[in-house]
Amino acid sequence: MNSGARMNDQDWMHDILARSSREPEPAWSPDKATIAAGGRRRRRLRAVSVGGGAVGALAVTAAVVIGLGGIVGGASAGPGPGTPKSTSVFDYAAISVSGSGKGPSNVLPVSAVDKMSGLIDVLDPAHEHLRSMASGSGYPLPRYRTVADGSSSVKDVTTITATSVYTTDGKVPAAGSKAPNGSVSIMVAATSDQLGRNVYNEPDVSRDNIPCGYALPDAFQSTPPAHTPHWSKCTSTQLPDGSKVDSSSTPDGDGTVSAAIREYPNNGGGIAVVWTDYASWKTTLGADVALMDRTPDPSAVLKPNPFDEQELAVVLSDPSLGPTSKPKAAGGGPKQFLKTIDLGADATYDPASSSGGTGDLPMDNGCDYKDINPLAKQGRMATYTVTAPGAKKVVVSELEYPLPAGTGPSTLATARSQAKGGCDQHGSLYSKDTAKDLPKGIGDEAFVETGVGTGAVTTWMRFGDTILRIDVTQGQAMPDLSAPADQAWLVEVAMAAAAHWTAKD
Amino acid sequence: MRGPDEAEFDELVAGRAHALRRTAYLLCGDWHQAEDLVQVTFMKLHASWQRVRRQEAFDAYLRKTLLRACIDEKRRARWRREAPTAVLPEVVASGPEPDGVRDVLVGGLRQLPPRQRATLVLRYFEDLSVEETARLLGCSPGTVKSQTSKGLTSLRAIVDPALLARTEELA
Repeated sequence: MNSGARMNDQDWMHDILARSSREPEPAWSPDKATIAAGGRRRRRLRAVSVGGGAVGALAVTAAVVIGLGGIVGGASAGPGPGTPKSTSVFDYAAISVSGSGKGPSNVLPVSAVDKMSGLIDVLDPAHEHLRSMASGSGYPLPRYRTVADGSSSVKDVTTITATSVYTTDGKVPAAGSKAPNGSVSIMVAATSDQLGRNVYNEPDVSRDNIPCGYALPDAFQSTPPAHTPHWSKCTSTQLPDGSKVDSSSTPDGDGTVSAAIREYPNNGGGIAVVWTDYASWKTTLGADVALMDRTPDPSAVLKPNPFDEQELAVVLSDPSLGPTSKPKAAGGGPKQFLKTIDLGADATYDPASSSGGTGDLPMDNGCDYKDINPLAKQGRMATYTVTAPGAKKVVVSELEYPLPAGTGPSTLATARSQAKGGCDQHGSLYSKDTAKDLPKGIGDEAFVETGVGTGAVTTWMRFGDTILRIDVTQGQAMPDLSAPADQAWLVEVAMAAAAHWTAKD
Repeated sequence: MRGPDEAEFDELVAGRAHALRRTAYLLCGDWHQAEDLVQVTFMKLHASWQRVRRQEAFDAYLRKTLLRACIDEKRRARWRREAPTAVLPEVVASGPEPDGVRDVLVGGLRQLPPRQRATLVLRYFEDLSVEETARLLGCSPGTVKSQTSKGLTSLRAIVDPALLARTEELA
């Protein structure tokens, strides 16, 4: 691509990174033995320096076990918000995970695991029929871990698909087995779009392999779509919780493919089941090209068909498979920092945001000022999300800067002076920055900087030699908080922040 | 304190090591140093396994530790550079022309101030949001935005389009 000059900076950067990522890299493998030896050595050294004796060590171990979510595939599952009620999906299905992250995830949200396991427990209560083909493969099975919904480790997971083969005798079929069997795919999607909804903008219409307007891409990866589908009229039921359950089925030779989908309201995702009552090349028959284009051999079809679309729809309508309420982050903010209630009714605090700390106090107005101010010690930080009064969803970051003794007043004076305009550079209009004093009584002094150059509205407060800063941002955009209600909200937030910081609560 | 389950830890190393090495290379500009930094990062994770696992924050921990390891390495390197010497070092001849886009990119990144370089790598290579980047760098989101803007403009001015085009022809 030679059009670098025409691209904006961000596209140019993405382009150059994408091109560089296609280039070969020097071969390398991490030295796992050295890593493990180094890790053990560090742990030993820390244990020796910490001391504390056996009682302390036992207490720490106990806390760790309680804090873990469910661990599946080798270790025990401890109680806690991440522990599933049933592990059937791990015992009787093969799992695949899709996500927006860089690679496959082995961490699953507990609600999805509970729903998939619950469905398996209903479809095969005595666990006599459904089996995981992976368990007979001889390969080591992936190890999955469950965590509470809302955990940052599952934020990138978009769909989870569990696939089981239905056997008549409970034995995992050998590869190539032509005995009749079936396959079931259960797919949990984080958003309705990921169910493949309205691919052709024809809701509730079945065509091709899109039953009821849902493409179900991941479910059909694991279980075969019909060869020349003739889907039955889509049956649709509205449930009290706002979910909609659709179902449809199609013959495929002597066999049948049935699908039922429960879509949650407000693009909240959903759960789908695709059931095929015949042995297929995707399950037991092997990737024989000749078989792929053919309708199933009658001898491979289960008689009678153990599940039809109505049964699947009824199973999916169970209240236990309803939408999972999105959990609010635990806690309302760290000690001395803002509480969610100070920001607004829908405010959430991200506890992970407090894992880091401030390293220095940067000031930035585009001019050649000294822009990095060292701190006496590391400060704390916290991030919240809230809808400001003007209906803008904004991110609020509170940052603490403990400055060297005696430098607080002069540093804030510099910040104030830099906030009143600046030098435009690289398209950032620092000259439009403004500073406005806040009422007296908020710390020793306080002002609000509308930082057009940095794309943030920042409240600066000083408490002796500590500066407290509240940044309001809105992605890459500059938040417009000029409306009177937003201005009043900024002052209220500053007063609340000052009150918490001085009261040390 | 217990160490990690070996199979689980090996799986994590296998899954994350190469992506981390790429990040480290963009930050420090040297494959061998990048490999050392990744090894050190995983050693620290191994030592802190239970705590990090409890928080379900492997990726954040690995990124943060890698960043710190890079900074520590730079500090050590600066200290080493400042050692007095009686003999002037020979002038090092300029290296060969870069033979790929990555060389050109890394050459440009090395000329940026460390904060701007880290901001660009985290925002565009690691695809982190403004807020996530701010958290990792211990600064405000506004600073990330301004550093991103400055860094991109500077990098674009540094990277020679003709050199980029030549690497493309070679490819």
